[in-house]
Amino acid sequence: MSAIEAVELRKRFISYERVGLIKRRKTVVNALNGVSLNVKWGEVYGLLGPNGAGKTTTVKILSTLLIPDSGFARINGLDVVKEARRVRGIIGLVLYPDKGFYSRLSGFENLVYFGRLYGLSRSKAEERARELLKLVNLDWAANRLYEEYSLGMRARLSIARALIHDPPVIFLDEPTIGLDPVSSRAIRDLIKGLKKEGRAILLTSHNLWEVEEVCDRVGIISSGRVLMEGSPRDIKDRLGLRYTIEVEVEGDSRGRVIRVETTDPVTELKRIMSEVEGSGLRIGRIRVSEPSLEEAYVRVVSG
Amino acid sequence: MRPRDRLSLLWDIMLNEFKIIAREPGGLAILLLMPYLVAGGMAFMASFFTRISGICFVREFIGFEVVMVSMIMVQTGARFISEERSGGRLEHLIATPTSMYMILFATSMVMVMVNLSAYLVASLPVVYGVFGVIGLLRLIPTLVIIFIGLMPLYGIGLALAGIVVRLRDVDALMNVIMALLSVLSGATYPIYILPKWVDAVVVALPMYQMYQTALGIVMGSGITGLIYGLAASTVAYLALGVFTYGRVERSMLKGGVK
Repeated sequence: MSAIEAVELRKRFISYERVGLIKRRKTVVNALNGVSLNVKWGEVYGLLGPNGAGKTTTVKILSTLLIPDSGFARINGLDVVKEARRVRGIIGLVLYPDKGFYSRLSGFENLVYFGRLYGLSRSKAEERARELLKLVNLDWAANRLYEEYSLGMRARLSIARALIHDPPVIFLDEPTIGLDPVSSRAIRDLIKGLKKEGRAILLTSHNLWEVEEVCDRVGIISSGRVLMEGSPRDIKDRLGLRYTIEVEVEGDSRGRVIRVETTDPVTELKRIMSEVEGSGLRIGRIRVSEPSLEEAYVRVVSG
Repeated sequence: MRPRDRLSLLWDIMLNEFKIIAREPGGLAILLLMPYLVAGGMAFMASFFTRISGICFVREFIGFEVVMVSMIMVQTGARFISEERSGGRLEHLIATPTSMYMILFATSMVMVMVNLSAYLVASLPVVYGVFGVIGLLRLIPTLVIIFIGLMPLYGIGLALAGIVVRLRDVDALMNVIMALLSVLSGATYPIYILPKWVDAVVVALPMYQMYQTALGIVMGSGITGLIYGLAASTVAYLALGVFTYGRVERSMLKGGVK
């Protein structure tokens, strides 16, 4: 059984635009146009897409905060609409990493409160809060009021809240947005650790290199449709993106660099090496640059 | 969840809300003193225009007290929803397995307690001054009446919270509703001056029933019929609130929290 399963999710929003002083014009926004995806246990699935592509809408439907117009979604076999309360007990959610807590309570008090709302006993909630504050490296600020937390600390506290009831499925909607490199790295390491524990994680982000680093599979979404899905490498291969091979040749009067772009780096590298060795020269250094997920993303999204 | 666990959770939500309120001591002090200042102040001002006996003063004082605590109670649910939404917490609360009814009820209960304390602190010297020790003893059952009377107001607040979820300008809506409720309370003026149909609306609202029952107890007169009316109101308005909020929460899940 998949941890997260979404089939043909469709969602339409009606919004109103101001036209003049009083008049409003009704507009229909098709946020999702048949999104389907599957996330297995122990897998990190990255949902990539431009602003307004439908990433957050998908996360909200999967986390029971929105009801889809059609299609269905299941978390660990439970329907997100019909069994919403049971689903809520097994998912952790990071929606707005920079807010969503009580500013007049400390980080510890906030976590204990949400732990109680997730059904933990008081002592268990306190125990988990202490553990998680240590895990996200906030134990030193446990008793500090939330309003005094920096953005990075708030983001880490959001992740701690998502884990307070030890959920097997976690949704992270842009968890590193606006964070400094050190905090982002800490969160990426945390995600990798959660994956090792066998949890299923759905992550949305605009940082493509970050997604490439932590995600096993990626879905590129645009205009409410998943346009391409697969592992980052798989996507790059399918798009025929080129690797760059640079070989420094020595033994000549002056060193030179052979630079080749190819879709098949192994065969090409073998060919270059045999050519160089055949001509009595030595290979100094080899560098193979993989095409980035960013290139793949730009190509998919721009059609 | 077992009833015991449910109660323990309810208590913890209340404790959390109380912690938040207590950490803004200025706000808490205002909450406690406001009914005293407003009710006492209004009754004091009225004494300039007419000769006010002690009983008359108590009548006015309790009337203004009821209006004050009612207004606070009616606003509690709607303000809570509005603040949780703007603080980005509403969706996180909905995303927990705990029902929003329980969260709203527990947070409102804290306001009920603050209101009861305010009512008690404000009424003690006035009632003692007019009725002596017997007045103080009569004040205790009125606390129960105010508590029961705040429940239908919580129901009205819940219905309003449902409406607030769909609106942006919470303050404007609240101001209109508060003005309407204070006029329709019937607790600060004799209602026989009103047209018949307005009179009927006033009598059907819980504030009037709460006022009449509390006043009846303090004055030492019969209140049996009034208590039945208050109980019926509690059931009716709570049901209305739960129904309205439930519908609106469903529509919020369809349209998203904005």
